Amino acid sequence: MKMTVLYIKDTGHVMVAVTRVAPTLWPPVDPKEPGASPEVRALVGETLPMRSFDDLASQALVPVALFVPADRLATLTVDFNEAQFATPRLCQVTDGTKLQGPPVRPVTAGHTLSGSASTVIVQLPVAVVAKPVPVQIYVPAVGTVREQSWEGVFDPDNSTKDRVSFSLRTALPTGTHQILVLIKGQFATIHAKIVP
Amino acid sequence: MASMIERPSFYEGQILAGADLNAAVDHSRGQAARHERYLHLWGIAQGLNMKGNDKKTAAGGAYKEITVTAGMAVDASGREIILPADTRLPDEVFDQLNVSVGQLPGAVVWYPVFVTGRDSVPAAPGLSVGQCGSSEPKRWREDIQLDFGRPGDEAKEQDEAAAADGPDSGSATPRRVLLGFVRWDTAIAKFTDVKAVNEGIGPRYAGVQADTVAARGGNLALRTRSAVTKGKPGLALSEDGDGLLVYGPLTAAGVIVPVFSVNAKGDLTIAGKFEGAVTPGSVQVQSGVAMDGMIVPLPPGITQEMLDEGKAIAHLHVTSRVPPSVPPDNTAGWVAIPIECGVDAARRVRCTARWTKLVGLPTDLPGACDYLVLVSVAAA
Repeated sequence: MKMTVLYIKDTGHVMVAVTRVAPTLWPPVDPKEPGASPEVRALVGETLPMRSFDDLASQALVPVALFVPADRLATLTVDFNEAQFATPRLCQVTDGTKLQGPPVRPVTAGHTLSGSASTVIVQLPVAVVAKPVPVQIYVPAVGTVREQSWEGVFDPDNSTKDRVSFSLRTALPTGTHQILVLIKGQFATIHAKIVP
Repeated sequence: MASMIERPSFYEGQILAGADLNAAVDHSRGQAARHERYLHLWGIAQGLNMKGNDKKTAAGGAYKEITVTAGMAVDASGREIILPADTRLPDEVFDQLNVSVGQLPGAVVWYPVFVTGRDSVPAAPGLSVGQCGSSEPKRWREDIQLDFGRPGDEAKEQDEAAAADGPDSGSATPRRVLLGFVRWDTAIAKFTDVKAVNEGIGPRYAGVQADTVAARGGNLALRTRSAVTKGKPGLALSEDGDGLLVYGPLTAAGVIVPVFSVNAKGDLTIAGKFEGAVTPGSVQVQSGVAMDGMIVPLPPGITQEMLDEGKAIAHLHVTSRVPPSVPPDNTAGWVAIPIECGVDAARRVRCTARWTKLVGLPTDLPGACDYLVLVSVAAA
Protein backbone atom coordinates (compact mmCIF):
# COMPACT_ATOMS: atom_id res chain seq x y z
CA MET A 1 0.00 0.00 0.00
CA LYS A 2 1.17 3.50 -0.79
CA MET A 3 0.54 6.85 0.76
CA THR A 4 0.88 10.29 -0.74
CA VAL A 5 2.13 13.27 1.21
CA LEU A 6 1.72 16.88 0.21
CA TYR A 7 4.71 18.96 1.20
CA ILE A 8 6.01 22.49 0.82
CA LYS A 9 8.19 22.47 -2.30
CA ASP A 10 10.77 24.92 -1.00
CA THR A 11 11.17 23.73 2.57
CA GLY A 12 10.16 20.06 2.45
CA HIS A 13 7.69 20.26 5.36
CA VAL A 14 4.82 17.80 5.01
CA MET A 15 1.35 19.25 5.51
CA VAL A 16 -1.08 16.36 4.96
CA ALA A 17 -1.18 12.75 3.84
CA VAL A 18 -3.69 10.58 2.03
CA THR A 19 -3.99 6.98 0.95
CA ARG A 20 -5.68 5.76 -2.19
CA VAL A 21 -6.45 2.09 -2.61
CA ALA A 22 -6.88 2.36 -6.37
CA PRO A 23 -3.50 3.29 -7.85
CA THR A 24 -3.79 6.64 -9.52
CA LEU A 25 -1.19 7.62 -12.08
CA TRP A 26 -0.38 11.25 -12.63
CA PRO A 27 2.06 12.60 -15.18
CA PRO A 28 5.50 13.11 -13.60
CA VAL A 29 6.12 16.70 -12.56
CA ASP A 30 9.36 18.39 -11.61
CA PRO A 31 8.78 19.74 -8.06
CA LYS A 32 10.83 22.81 -8.99
CA GLU A 33 8.32 23.78 -11.67
CA PRO A 34 6.24 26.80 -10.68
CA GLY A 35 2.54 26.35 -10.05
CA ALA A 36 0.60 23.43 -8.63
CA SER A 37 0.63 20.06 -10.35
CA PRO A 38 -2.68 18.50 -11.47
CA GLU A 39 -2.40 16.00 -8.62
CA VAL A 40 -2.01 18.76 -6.01
CA ARG A 41 -4.98 20.61 -7.48
CA ALA A 42 -7.05 17.43 -7.34
CA LEU A 43 -6.20 16.84 -3.69
CA VAL A 44 -6.41 20.35 -2.22
CA GLY A 45 -7.96 22.65 -4.81
CA GLU A 46 -6.62 26.21 -4.70
CA THR A 47 -5.58 26.18 -1.04
CA LEU A 48 -5.14 23.67 1.74
CA PRO A 49 -6.90 24.76 4.94
CA MET A 50 -5.32 23.61 8.19
CA ARG A 51 -7.18 23.72 11.49
CA SER A 52 -4.46 22.26 13.68
CA PHE A 53 -0.73 21.80 13.64
CA ASP A 54 1.66 19.53 15.51
CA ASP A 55 3.77 21.67 17.82
CA LEU A 56 6.87 19.68 18.58
CA ALA A 57 7.93 21.93 21.43
CA SER A 58 4.78 21.37 23.49
CA GLN A 59 4.18 17.85 22.12
CA ALA A 60 0.63 18.93 21.40
CA LEU A 61 -1.74 19.75 18.58
CA VAL A 62 -2.29 23.48 18.37
CA PRO A 63 -5.53 24.79 16.86
CA VAL A 64 -4.75 27.10 13.95
CA ALA A 65 -6.58 28.63 11.01
CA LEU A 66 -4.01 28.64 8.22
CA PHE A 67 -4.17 28.23 4.47
CA VAL A 68 -1.38 26.96 2.23
CA PRO A 69 -1.66 27.98 -1.45
CA ALA A 70 -1.64 24.95 -3.75
CA ASP A 71 1.21 26.31 -5.84
CA ARG A 72 3.55 26.00 -2.84
CA LEU A 73 2.80 22.27 -2.57
CA ALA A 74 4.10 19.14 -4.26
CA THR A 75 3.26 15.47 -3.85
CA LEU A 76 5.38 12.45 -3.03
CA THR A 77 4.04 8.91 -3.05
CA VAL A 78 5.89 6.41 -0.87
CA ASP A 79 5.28 3.07 0.82
CA PHE A 80 2.74 3.32 3.62
CA ASN A 81 4.26 3.94 7.05
CA GLU A 82 1.84 4.08 9.96
CA ALA A 83 3.93 6.42 12.10
CA GLN A 84 4.50 8.84 9.24
CA PHE A 85 0.86 8.73 8.23
CA ALA A 86 -0.35 9.43 11.77
CA THR A 87 1.89 12.48 12.20
CA PRO A 88 2.84 13.67 8.73
CA ARG A 89 3.60 17.19 9.95
CA LEU A 90 6.55 15.86 11.90
CA CYS A 91 8.05 14.58 8.63
CA GLN A 92 9.99 16.27 5.88
CA VAL A 93 10.71 15.48 2.25
CA THR A 94 14.34 15.77 1.22
CA ASP A 95 15.56 16.01 -2.36
CA GLY A 96 11.95 15.70 -3.51
CA THR A 97 12.28 11.92 -3.22
CA LYS A 98 12.73 10.85 0.41
CA LEU A 99 10.31 11.11 3.29
CA GLN A 100 12.06 11.41 6.65
CA GLY A 101 10.67 11.40 10.17
CA PRO A 102 8.94 11.50 12.47
CA PRO A 103 10.52 13.53 13.73
CA VAL A 104 13.31 14.71 11.49
CA ARG A 105 16.50 15.92 13.04
CA PRO A 106 16.96 19.67 12.57
CA VAL A 107 20.05 20.57 10.61
CA THR A 108 20.19 24.16 11.83
CA ALA A 109 19.67 25.74 15.22
CA GLY A 110 16.32 27.08 16.38
CA HIS A 111 14.88 30.48 15.73
CA THR A 112 12.83 33.19 17.38
CA LEU A 113 9.94 35.31 16.23
CA SER A 114 9.54 39.02 16.92
CA GLY A 115 8.21 42.14 15.24
CA SER A 116 5.18 44.38 15.50
CA ALA A 117 1.56 44.23 14.41
CA SER A 118 2.63 44.81 10.83
CA THR A 119 5.95 42.99 10.70
CA VAL A 120 7.17 39.51 11.47
CA ILE A 121 10.87 38.98 12.03
CA VAL A 122 12.35 35.49 12.02
CA GLN A 123 15.76 35.45 13.65
CA LEU A 124 18.32 32.67 13.80
CA PRO A 125 20.47 32.65 16.97
CA VAL A 126 23.65 32.95 14.90
CA ALA A 127 24.34 33.21 11.20
CA VAL A 128 24.52 29.46 10.84
CA VAL A 129 23.47 29.06 7.23
CA ALA A 130 26.21 28.24 4.77
CA LYS A 131 23.94 28.47 1.74
CA PRO A 132 20.58 30.13 1.07
CA VAL A 133 17.85 28.57 3.24
CA PRO A 134 14.20 29.21 2.37
CA VAL A 135 11.83 30.41 5.09
CA GLN A 136 8.07 30.80 4.92
CA ILE A 137 5.52 32.18 7.34
CA TYR A 138 1.78 31.60 7.42
CA VAL A 139 -0.37 34.12 9.23
CA PRO A 140 -4.03 33.26 10.02
CA ALA A 141 -7.07 35.22 9.00
CA VAL A 142 -8.43 37.32 11.83
CA GLY A 143 -11.76 39.10 11.55
CA THR A 144 -11.63 41.10 8.36
CA VAL A 145 -7.88 40.52 7.91
CA ARG A 146 -7.37 37.79 5.33
CA GLU A 147 -4.84 35.03 5.78
CA GLN A 148 -1.33 35.87 4.62
CA SER A 149 1.71 33.82 3.71
CA TRP A 150 5.17 35.02 2.84
CA GLU A 151 8.37 33.54 1.46
CA GLY A 152 11.91 34.64 2.25
CA VAL A 153 15.43 33.32 2.42
CA PHE A 154 18.31 33.33 4.87
CA ASP A 155 21.15 34.26 2.57
CA PRO A 156 24.73 34.00 3.87
CA ASP A 157 25.87 36.53 1.27
CA ASN A 158 23.74 39.46 2.33
CA SER A 159 22.01 41.11 5.26
CA THR A 160 19.43 38.32 5.62
CA LYS A 161 22.01 35.80 6.73
CA ASP A 162 20.44 35.43 10.18
CA ARG A 163 17.32 37.56 10.06
CA VAL A 164 14.42 37.79 7.65
CA SER A 165 11.78 40.47 8.08
CA PHE A 166 8.32 40.21 6.53
CA SER A 167 6.05 43.24 6.15
CA LEU A 168 2.45 42.13 6.44
CA ARG A 169 -0.13 43.39 3.96
CA THR A 170 -2.48 44.26 6.77
CA ALA A 171 -1.55 44.88 10.39
CA LEU A 172 -2.73 42.24 12.82
CA PRO A 173 -5.35 43.31 15.36
CA THR A 174 -4.78 43.12 19.08
CA GLY A 175 -4.66 39.56 20.36
CA THR A 176 -2.73 36.34 20.06
CA HIS A 177 -2.09 34.95 16.59
CA GLN A 178 -0.78 31.49 15.82
CA ILE A 179 1.87 31.92 13.13
CA LEU A 180 3.43 28.97 11.36
CA VAL A 181 7.14 29.29 10.54
CA LEU A 182 8.76 26.87 8.12
CA ILE A 183 12.52 26.93 7.72
CA LYS A 184 14.12 24.32 5.53
CA GLY A 185 15.98 21.88 7.76
CA GLN A 186 14.15 22.89 10.94
CA PHE A 187 10.98 21.62 12.56
CA ALA A 188 7.80 23.39 11.58
CA THR A 189 7.01 25.70 14.47
CA ILE A 190 3.84 27.39 15.63
CA HIS A 191 4.53 30.73 17.34
CA ALA A 192 1.97 32.54 19.44
CA LYS A 193 2.48 36.15 18.37
CA ILE A 194 0.96 38.59 20.83
CA VAL A 195 -0.10 41.97 19.49
CA PRO A 196 -0.73 44.31 22.45
CA MET B 1 26.82 37.19 -40.95
CA ALA B 2 28.30 33.80 -41.71
CA SER B 3 29.76 33.52 -45.17
CA MET B 4 27.69 31.93 -47.90
CA ILE B 5 28.63 28.52 -49.15
CA GLU B 6 30.66 28.49 -52.35
CA ARG B 7 31.51 25.60 -54.60
CA PRO B 8 34.45 25.56 -56.98
CA SER B 9 33.98 25.74 -60.74
CA PHE B 10 36.57 24.85 -63.35
CA TYR B 11 37.13 25.77 -66.97
CA GLU B 12 39.19 24.33 -69.79
CA GLY B 13 42.84 25.25 -69.53
CA GLN B 14 42.60 26.44 -65.91
CA ILE B 15 45.69 25.96 -63.87
CA LEU B 16 44.41 24.28 -60.74
CA ALA B 17 45.75 25.43 -57.42
CA GLY B 18 45.67 23.23 -54.33
CA ALA B 19 43.00 25.49 -52.85
CA ASP B 20 40.68 24.79 -55.80
CA LEU B 21 40.91 21.06 -55.30
CA ASN B 22 40.57 21.40 -51.52
CA ALA B 23 37.46 23.53 -52.01
CA ALA B 24 35.88 20.74 -54.04
CA VAL B 25 36.59 18.23 -51.27
CA ASP B 26 35.47 20.62 -48.51
CA HIS B 27 32.22 21.42 -50.30
CA SER B 28 31.27 17.74 -50.43
CA ARG B 29 32.28 17.12 -46.82
CA GLY B 30 30.30 20.15 -45.66
CA GLN B 31 27.25 19.08 -47.61
CA ALA B 32 27.41 15.58 -46.13
CA ALA B 33 27.85 16.93 -42.59
CA ARG B 34 24.88 19.27 -42.91
CA HIS B 35 22.77 16.41 -44.21
CA GLU B 36 23.80 14.22 -41.27
CA ARG B 37 23.18 17.06 -38.84
CA TYR B 38 19.81 18.31 -40.01
CA LEU B 39 18.13 15.31 -41.59
CA HIS B 40 19.43 12.84 -39.05
CA LEU B 41 20.05 12.73 -35.31
CA TRP B 42 23.65 12.17 -34.31
CA GLY B 43 24.81 9.05 -32.54
CA ILE B 44 26.07 5.55 -33.18
CA ALA B 45 25.01 4.21 -36.56
CA GLN B 46 26.62 0.78 -36.43
CA GLY B 47 28.70 -1.29 -34.01
CA LEU B 48 30.89 0.52 -31.45
CA ASN B 49 29.81 -1.83 -28.68
CA MET B 50 32.06 -2.31 -25.66
CA LYS B 51 32.76 -5.90 -24.62
CA GLY B 52 34.82 -7.12 -21.68
CA ASN B 53 36.91 -10.27 -21.52
CA ASP B 54 37.88 -11.63 -18.12
CA LYS B 55 41.64 -11.57 -17.47
CA LYS B 56 43.99 -11.85 -14.54
CA THR B 57 47.16 -9.96 -13.75
CA ALA B 58 50.37 -11.80 -12.96
CA ALA B 59 49.54 -11.34 -9.28
CA GLY B 60 46.11 -12.88 -9.81
CA GLY B 61 44.05 -9.70 -9.81
CA ALA B 62 40.88 -9.97 -11.88
CA TYR B 63 40.25 -7.35 -14.53
CA LYS B 64 38.58 -6.97 -17.88
CA GLU B 65 40.20 -6.33 -21.20
CA ILE B 66 37.67 -4.18 -22.99
CA THR B 67 37.26 -4.12 -26.73
CA VAL B 68 35.32 -1.61 -28.79
CA THR B 69 33.86 -3.26 -31.85
CA ALA B 70 34.27 -1.79 -35.31
CA GLY B 71 31.55 0.57 -36.39
CA MET B 72 30.49 4.06 -37.27
CA ALA B 73 29.03 7.04 -35.51
CA VAL B 74 28.10 10.55 -36.50
CA ASP B 75 28.97 13.33 -34.07
CA ALA B 76 27.00 16.48 -33.32
CA SER B 77 28.77 18.37 -36.12
CA GLY B 78 27.75 15.74 -38.66
CA ARG B 79 31.26 14.31 -38.86
CA GLU B 80 31.60 10.62 -39.62
CA ILE B 81 33.59 8.69 -37.05
CA ILE B 82 34.67 5.30 -38.29
CA LEU B 83 36.46 2.64 -36.28
CA PRO B 84 37.62 0.24 -38.97
CA ALA B 85 38.49 -2.71 -36.73
CA ASP B 86 37.83 -3.99 -33.23
CA THR B 87 40.10 -2.02 -30.89
CA ARG B 88 41.26 -2.57 -27.33
CA LEU B 89 40.22 0.17 -24.93
CA PRO B 90 43.61 1.47 -23.73
CA ASP B 91 43.82 1.26 -19.94
CA GLU B 92 47.25 2.89 -20.08
CA VAL B 93 45.64 6.01 -21.56
CA PHE B 94 43.01 6.03 -18.85
CA ASP B 95 45.79 5.80 -16.27
CA GLN B 96 47.82 8.60 -17.86
CA LEU B 97 44.84 10.92 -18.04
CA ASN B 98 44.45 10.69 -14.24
CA VAL B 99 40.70 10.40 -14.69
CA SER B 100 40.31 8.42 -11.47
CA VAL B 101 42.14 10.88 -9.22
CA GLY B 102 40.18 11.15 -6.02
CA GLN B 103 38.49 7.78 -6.38
CA LEU B 104 38.15 6.31 -2.91
CA PRO B 105 39.09 2.67 -2.38
CA GLY B 106 36.03 0.47 -2.70
CA ALA B 107 33.91 3.22 -4.27
CA VAL B 108 31.75 2.17 -7.21
CA VAL B 109 32.46 4.77 -9.86
CA TRP B 110 31.44 4.45 -13.50
CA TYR B 111 33.52 6.52 -15.91
CA PRO B 112 32.01 7.41 -19.28
CA VAL B 113 33.85 6.31 -22.43
CA PHE B 114 33.54 8.41 -25.56
CA VAL B 115 34.67 8.23 -29.13
CA THR B 116 35.64 11.42 -30.94
CA GLY B 117 36.68 12.15 -34.49
CA ARG B 118 39.83 14.14 -35.16
CA ASP B 119 41.85 15.08 -38.22
CA SER B 120 45.49 14.06 -38.01
CA VAL B 121 48.41 13.98 -40.41
CA PRO B 122 49.53 10.47 -41.22
CA ALA B 123 53.24 9.79 -41.00
CA ALA B 124 54.94 10.08 -44.39
CA PRO B 125 56.53 6.86 -45.62
CA GLY B 126 60.31 6.75 -45.49
CA LEU B 127 62.11 8.24 -48.51
CA SER B 128 58.85 9.66 -49.82
CA VAL B 129 59.02 12.23 -52.60
CA GLY B 130 57.69 15.65 -51.66
CA GLN B 131 57.83 19.20 -52.83
CA CYS B 132 60.98 20.86 -51.55
CA GLY B 133 60.31 23.16 -48.66
CA SER B 134 56.62 22.31 -48.36
CA SER B 135 55.29 21.47 -44.93
CA GLU B 136 51.69 21.03 -46.06
CA PRO B 137 50.28 17.54 -45.57
CA LYS B 138 49.17 15.59 -48.61
CA ARG B 139 46.62 13.62 -46.70
CA TRP B 140 44.42 14.13 -43.67
CA ARG B 141 43.63 11.02 -41.72
CA GLU B 142 40.08 10.92 -40.37
CA ASP B 143 41.29 9.60 -37.05
CA ILE B 144 39.36 8.52 -34.02
CA GLN B 145 40.16 8.79 -30.37
CA LEU B 146 38.77 6.71 -27.50
CA ASP B 147 38.36 9.19 -24.71
CA PHE B 148 37.40 9.07 -21.02
CA GLY B 149 35.41 11.47 -18.90
CA ARG B 150 34.66 12.13 -15.27
CA PRO B 151 31.31 10.91 -13.91
CA GLY B 152 28.70 13.40 -15.08
CA ASP B 153 30.47 14.29 -18.32
CA GLU B 154 28.08 11.98 -20.16
CA ALA B 155 25.19 14.34 -19.42
CA LYS B 156 26.87 17.51 -20.69
CA GLU B 157 25.16 19.28 -23.55
CA GLN B 158 27.08 19.99 -26.74
CA ASP B 159 27.05 23.30 -28.56
CA GLU B 160 25.09 23.35 -31.78
CA ALA B 161 27.09 23.82 -34.96
CA ALA B 162 26.40 26.94 -37.02
CA ALA B 163 24.04 26.34 -39.92
CA ALA B 164 26.64 26.59 -42.65
CA ASP B 165 29.44 24.78 -40.84
CA GLY B 166 30.97 21.62 -42.18
CA PRO B 167 32.26 18.82 -39.96
CA ASP B 168 34.48 19.76 -37.01
CA SER B 169 38.15 18.94 -37.33
CA GLY B 170 38.05 17.66 -33.77
CA SER B 171 41.19 19.58 -32.74
CA ALA B 172 39.62 22.50 -30.86
CA THR B 173 36.38 21.21 -29.38
CA PRO B 174 36.10 17.48 -29.89
CA ARG B 175 32.51 16.35 -30.06
CA ARG B 176 32.06 13.28 -27.97
CA VAL B 177 29.83 10.30 -28.70
CA LEU B 178 29.16 8.18 -25.61
CA LEU B 179 29.94 4.47 -25.95
CA GLY B 180 29.31 3.27 -22.38
CA PHE B 181 30.88 3.15 -18.94
CA VAL B 182 33.82 1.43 -17.29
CA ARG B 183 34.95 0.83 -13.73
CA TRP B 184 38.57 1.23 -12.75
CA ASP B 185 40.71 -0.45 -10.10
CA THR B 186 43.31 2.05 -8.93
CA ALA B 187 45.41 -0.66 -7.26
CA ILE B 188 46.07 -2.68 -10.41
CA ALA B 189 45.44 0.17 -12.90
CA LYS B 190 43.02 -1.91 -14.95
CA PHE B 191 39.39 -1.82 -15.99
CA THR B 192 37.24 -4.13 -13.89
CA ASP B 193 33.81 -3.83 -15.45
CA VAL B 194 31.92 -2.39 -18.39
CA LYS B 195 28.30 -1.57 -19.10
CA ALA B 196 26.35 0.39 -21.66
CA VAL B 197 23.90 2.29 -19.46
CA ASN B 198 24.47 4.03 -16.13
CA GLU B 199 21.71 5.77 -14.20
CA GLY B 200 19.52 5.83 -17.27
CA ILE B 201 22.11 7.37 -19.56
CA GLY B 202 23.57 5.25 -22.33
CA PRO B 203 24.80 5.46 -25.90
CA ARG B 204 22.62 7.42 -28.25
CA TYR B 205 21.99 5.99 -31.65
CA ALA B 206 21.66 7.83 -34.94
CA GLY B 207 18.11 8.67 -35.96
CA VAL B 208 16.14 10.59 -38.50
CA GLN B 209 14.49 13.98 -38.40
CA ALA B 210 11.44 14.05 -40.58
CA ASP B 211 8.01 15.56 -40.43
CA THR B 212 6.77 13.10 -42.97
CA VAL B 213 7.89 9.53 -43.41
CA ALA B 214 6.45 8.03 -46.56
CA ALA B 215 6.66 4.53 -47.97
CA ARG B 216 6.91 3.84 -51.69
CA GLY B 217 5.61 0.29 -51.72
CA GLY B 218 2.43 0.87 -49.68
CA ASN B 219 3.77 -0.57 -46.43
CA LEU B 220 5.52 1.45 -43.73
CA ALA B 221 7.19 -0.52 -40.93
CA LEU B 222 8.82 0.28 -37.61
CA ARG B 223 10.76 -2.14 -35.44
CA THR B 224 13.02 -1.85 -32.42
CA ARG B 225 16.12 -3.60 -33.83
CA SER B 226 18.14 -3.14 -37.01
CA ALA B 227 17.93 -6.81 -37.84
CA VAL B 228 14.67 -8.72 -37.83
CA THR B 229 14.61 -10.37 -34.41
CA LYS B 230 11.98 -12.93 -33.53
CA GLY B 231 9.76 -11.82 -30.65
CA LYS B 232 10.74 -8.13 -30.77
CA PRO B 233 7.87 -5.70 -31.39
CA GLY B 234 6.98 -4.28 -34.77
CA LEU B 235 4.45 -1.81 -36.10
CA ALA B 236 3.20 -1.60 -39.67
CA LEU B 237 0.98 0.80 -41.56
CA SER B 238 -0.19 -0.76 -44.80
CA GLU B 239 -2.81 -0.37 -47.52
CA ASP B 240 -4.24 -3.82 -46.89
CA GLY B 241 -8.03 -3.65 -47.00
CA ASP B 242 -7.92 0.09 -47.73
CA GLY B 243 -5.78 0.74 -44.68
CA LEU B 244 -4.51 -1.22 -41.71
CA LEU B 245 -2.41 -0.43 -38.66
CA VAL B 246 -0.91 -3.52 -37.05
CA TYR B 247 1.21 -3.97 -33.93
CA GLY B 248 2.68 -7.16 -32.51
CA PRO B 249 5.78 -9.32 -32.11
CA LEU B 250 7.80 -10.25 -35.17
CA THR B 251 8.36 -13.73 -36.52
CA ALA B 252 11.85 -14.79 -37.62
CA ALA B 253 10.82 -13.81 -41.14
CA GLY B 254 9.87 -10.30 -40.04
CA VAL B 255 6.10 -10.79 -40.20
CA ILE B 256 4.07 -9.13 -37.47
CA VAL B 257 1.83 -11.41 -35.43
CA PRO B 258 -1.01 -8.95 -34.75
CA VAL B 259 -2.03 -8.31 -31.17
CA PHE B 260 -3.54 -4.96 -32.06
CA SER B 261 -4.93 -3.73 -35.35
CA VAL B 262 -7.19 -0.99 -36.66
CA ASN B 263 -8.65 -1.08 -40.15
CA ALA B 264 -9.78 1.81 -42.31
CA LYS B 265 -13.34 1.52 -40.96
CA GLY B 266 -12.06 2.07 -37.44
CA ASP B 267 -12.67 -1.51 -36.34
CA LEU B 268 -10.29 -2.25 -33.49
CA THR B 269 -9.11 -5.80 -32.85
CA ILE B 270 -7.02 -6.72 -29.83
CA ALA B 271 -5.70 -10.05 -28.65
CA GLY B 272 -5.28 -9.03 -25.02
CA LYS B 273 -7.58 -7.48 -22.48
CA PHE B 274 -8.85 -3.96 -22.82
CA GLU B 275 -8.30 -1.64 -19.89
CA GLY B 276 -9.61 1.86 -19.99
CA ALA B 277 -9.80 4.36 -17.20
CA VAL B 278 -13.46 4.85 -17.75
CA THR B 279 -15.81 2.35 -19.32
CA PRO B 280 -19.25 3.79 -20.09
CA GLY B 281 -21.88 2.30 -17.82
CA SER B 282 -19.32 1.19 -15.24
CA VAL B 283 -18.80 2.02 -11.60
CA GLN B 284 -15.36 3.22 -10.57
CA VAL B 285 -14.17 3.01 -6.98
CA GLN B 286 -11.62 4.77 -4.82
CA SER B 287 -11.07 4.46 -1.10
CA GLY B 288 -8.50 5.26 1.55
CA VAL B 289 -7.81 7.66 4.39
CA ALA B 290 -7.81 11.44 3.99
CA MET B 291 -6.96 14.18 6.45
CA ASP B 292 -9.12 17.15 7.31
CA GLY B 293 -8.89 19.89 4.71
CA MET B 294 -8.11 17.66 1.75
CA ILE B 295 -10.36 17.00 -1.20
CA VAL B 296 -11.47 13.37 -1.35
CA PRO B 297 -9.62 11.74 -4.28
CA LEU B 298 -11.61 10.45 -7.22
CA PRO B 299 -11.13 7.01 -8.77
CA PRO B 300 -8.45 6.73 -11.48
CA GLY B 301 -9.64 8.19 -14.76
CA ILE B 302 -12.48 10.16 -13.25
CA THR B 303 -12.08 13.92 -13.41
CA GLN B 304 -13.88 16.80 -11.79
CA GLU B 305 -14.93 17.92 -15.27
CA MET B 306 -16.77 14.62 -15.80
CA LEU B 307 -18.70 15.22 -12.58
CA ASP B 308 -19.36 18.86 -13.46
CA GLU B 309 -20.68 17.91 -16.91
CA GLY B 310 -22.92 15.17 -15.53
CA LYS B 311 -21.05 12.40 -17.32
CA ALA B 312 -20.48 10.72 -13.98
CA ILE B 313 -22.07 10.81 -10.55
CA ALA B 314 -20.08 10.44 -7.34
CA HIS B 315 -21.38 8.75 -4.19
CA LEU B 316 -19.26 9.47 -1.12
CA HIS B 317 -19.12 7.86 2.26
CA VAL B 318 -16.79 9.11 4.98
CA THR B 319 -16.29 7.84 8.51
CA SER B 320 -14.26 9.41 11.27
CA ARG B 321 -11.08 7.45 11.88
CA VAL B 322 -9.49 7.01 15.31
CA PRO B 323 -6.55 6.46 14.98
CA PRO B 324 -4.88 7.98 13.01
CA SER B 325 -6.70 11.06 14.22
CA VAL B 326 -4.30 11.96 16.98
CA PRO B 327 -5.13 13.22 20.50
CA PRO B 328 -4.28 16.75 21.61
CA ASP B 329 -1.13 15.60 23.37
CA ASN B 330 0.66 12.36 24.08
CA THR B 331 -0.61 11.91 27.62
CA ALA B 332 -2.78 8.88 28.30
CA GLY B 333 -6.54 8.84 28.88
CA TRP B 334 -7.87 10.74 25.90
CA VAL B 335 -11.15 9.57 24.41
CA ALA B 336 -12.38 10.82 21.05
CA ILE B 337 -16.00 11.49 20.15
CA PRO B 338 -16.62 12.24 16.48
CA ILE B 339 -18.62 15.42 16.33
CA GLU B 340 -18.31 16.17 12.64
CA CYS B 341 -17.32 14.09 9.61
CA GLY B 342 -18.40 15.00 6.12
CA VAL B 343 -17.47 16.70 2.89
CA ASP B 344 -18.57 19.99 1.38
CA ALA B 345 -19.69 20.61 -2.20
CA ALA B 346 -16.07 20.55 -3.34
CA ARG B 347 -15.60 17.15 -1.60
CA ARG B 348 -13.30 18.80 0.95
CA VAL B 349 -13.11 16.79 4.15
CA ARG B 350 -14.26 18.37 7.37
CA CYS B 351 -13.66 15.98 10.20
CA THR B 352 -13.55 16.96 13.85
CA ALA B 353 -13.18 14.87 16.99
CA ARG B 354 -13.88 16.05 20.52
CA TRP B 355 -11.07 14.82 22.72
CA THR B 356 -11.93 14.49 26.36
CA LYS B 357 -10.57 12.93 29.52
CA LEU B 358 -11.77 12.70 33.08
CA VAL B 359 -9.98 15.84 34.18
CA GLY B 360 -9.80 19.04 32.19
CA LEU B 361 -11.69 20.67 29.38
CA PRO B 362 -12.41 18.81 26.13
CA THR B 363 -10.64 19.91 22.96
CA ASP B 364 -12.08 19.86 19.45
CA LEU B 365 -9.47 19.01 16.82
CA PRO B 366 -9.56 18.08 13.17
CA GLY B 367 -8.73 14.50 12.33
CA ALA B 368 -8.80 12.01 9.50
CA CYS B 369 -11.53 9.99 7.87
CA ASP B 370 -11.94 6.74 5.97
CA TYR B 371 -13.56 7.47 2.64
CA LEU B 372 -15.25 5.43 -0.06
CA VAL B 373 -16.06 7.00 -3.42
CA LEU B 374 -18.27 5.23 -5.94
CA VAL B 375 -18.60 6.94 -9.30
CA SER B 376 -21.19 5.70 -11.76
CA VAL B 377 -20.22 6.57 -15.31
CA ALA B 378 -23.06 7.32 -17.67
CA ALA B 379 -23.61 4.74 -20.42
CA ALA B 380 -22.53 5.96 -23.86
